[in-house]
Amino acid sequence: MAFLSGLDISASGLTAERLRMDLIANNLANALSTRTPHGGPYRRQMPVFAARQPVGQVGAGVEVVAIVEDPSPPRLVFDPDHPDARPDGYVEYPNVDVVTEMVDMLAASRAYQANLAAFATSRDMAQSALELLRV
Amino acid sequence: MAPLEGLWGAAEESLSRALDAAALRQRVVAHNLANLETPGYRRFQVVFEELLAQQQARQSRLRLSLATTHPAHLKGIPARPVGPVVVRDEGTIYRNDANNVDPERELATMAKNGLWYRSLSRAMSARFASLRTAIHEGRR
Repeated sequence: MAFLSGLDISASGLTAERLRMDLIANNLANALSTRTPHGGPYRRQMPVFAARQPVGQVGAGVEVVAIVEDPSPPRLVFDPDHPDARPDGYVEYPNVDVVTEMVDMLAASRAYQANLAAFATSRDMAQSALELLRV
Repeated sequence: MAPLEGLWGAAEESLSRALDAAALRQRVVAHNLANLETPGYRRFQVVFEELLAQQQARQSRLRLSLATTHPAHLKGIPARPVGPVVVRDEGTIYRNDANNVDPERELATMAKNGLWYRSLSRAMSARFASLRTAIHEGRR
């Protein structure tokens, strides 16, 4: 429904930013996880955003098309007593940089707020259109 | 629409077009904001008021319409209704990921557009209110 599609567009942005926020939270929670089910340390996860194809003149928002792992090498810390230490004494820690995650978290939060503002404006506009019926 | 032919005048027509354009602009801004973090995304914008002003300038130049004293005479150029156009902004790039959505700019556009929409819908409901007065007063 074109009349309310602004709400769907903003909702797609909210969903995408929320998912990004979840991934950041998961990255931070696993910043020191040296074990994962598929072996090796945890790897930082990132969402891949793509613009949804337009319906008519206007696009239909955003979607997360994939969640990928950061291919950068793990962080090495020399700690021979650690149970997951390699024979050379180094422990492979996740490639999660807490500062990067914090910056991304702020960006995701601001983007979420921007989408929320767009949602509220679309809703107010729909309401003022509905008031035409109450003359 | 035939019974309302005389009631639905040029002002209502212009207002409804402007309301459509403002609603479209809101969707475009929402789409831009949803893609705030999409790499390579380029913002869209709605062009309408400029087109309307151009058309009105053209019409005011052609205000002297041609006299038609015979059915076969041409009436001059009929005004074609202007609609909003969505264009992609390929020009500005200020981020490494080639995305050119500026959230402050989009939020400012949205705030202005929202107020614009509300004033248009107020104007529209004022038109409806005067129609209603005309209808009801005729009954007395």
